[in-house]
Amino acid sequence: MEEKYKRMFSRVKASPEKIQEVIIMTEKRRPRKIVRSLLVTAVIMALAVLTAMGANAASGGELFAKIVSYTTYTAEDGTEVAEMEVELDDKMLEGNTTGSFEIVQGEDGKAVMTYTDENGKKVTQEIDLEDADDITGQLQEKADKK
Amino acid sequence: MTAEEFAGYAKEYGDTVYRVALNCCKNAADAEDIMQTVLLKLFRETKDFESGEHVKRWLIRVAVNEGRKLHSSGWFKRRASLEEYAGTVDFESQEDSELFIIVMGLPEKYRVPLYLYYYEDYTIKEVAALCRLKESTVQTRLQRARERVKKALTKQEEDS
Repeated sequence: MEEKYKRMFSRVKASPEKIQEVIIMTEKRRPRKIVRSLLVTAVIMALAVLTAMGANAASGGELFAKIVSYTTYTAEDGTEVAEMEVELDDKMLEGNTTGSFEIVQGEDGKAVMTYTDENGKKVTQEIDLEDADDITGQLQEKADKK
Repeated sequence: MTAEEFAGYAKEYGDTVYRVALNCCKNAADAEDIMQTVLLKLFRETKDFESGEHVKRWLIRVAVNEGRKLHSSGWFKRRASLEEYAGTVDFESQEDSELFIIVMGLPEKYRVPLYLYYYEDYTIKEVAALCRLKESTVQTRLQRARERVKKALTKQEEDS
């Protein structure tokens, strides 16, 4: 019976499409433990975007006057999203004092952040998370207090 | 676990999880749902696995639990008849197809231990651990399952 049973069940297989569906779902999704790193990323990205916009971000310490809100959630397509709303030091970014950051992290370790200012103007930039450690420092500490 | 590691496990053990689930719920649509749920749980699992075999046993245990949960919830998808489902499987012979119908006609409590013992080659002790049953219970269930299958096969031969 054992041999017949094995032969019989060897033909019972899951639909390859159903297995592939799960694989595709997970390719778009990272484990929950990355959410913490997104907070760090948000701060780094803010720095990167401000630099890109010509702000004097190099002065460090007072990059954010105030973090208004910070939320993370899983989007409908399974991607982890972090949103941070900040009130910027207006000495650094004249005219645009409030904006929001949306960070979407991909499986390849890169994240794309979109900064939208209060007038609806968007700036998008990609960052490699591997570079994160070099520039967090006191910015992370500031974010942790929020 | 990286997406690449997960994809490897999903491809290697997806069929095993599906077969365990099918033995639990006797319905292909529910078995596929359980398989996907179990695989997603694996992806979200944060514990470190020692080996592929460790992953496999974890998947089987979770599949058995999910099957039990489905039973207790009383929620089942539309059931295709076993004959209908057997017609979609590429069995080597009519004899194998008939054996499938006989085995799947056994009560659920016999099907999973039978599968783990005969197909996956786990020992009685291992089957007991995977199903969270006493070894003596597994032994009894295997014995009764064998008797029932033998009886059904004999009857089938006589009828034909």
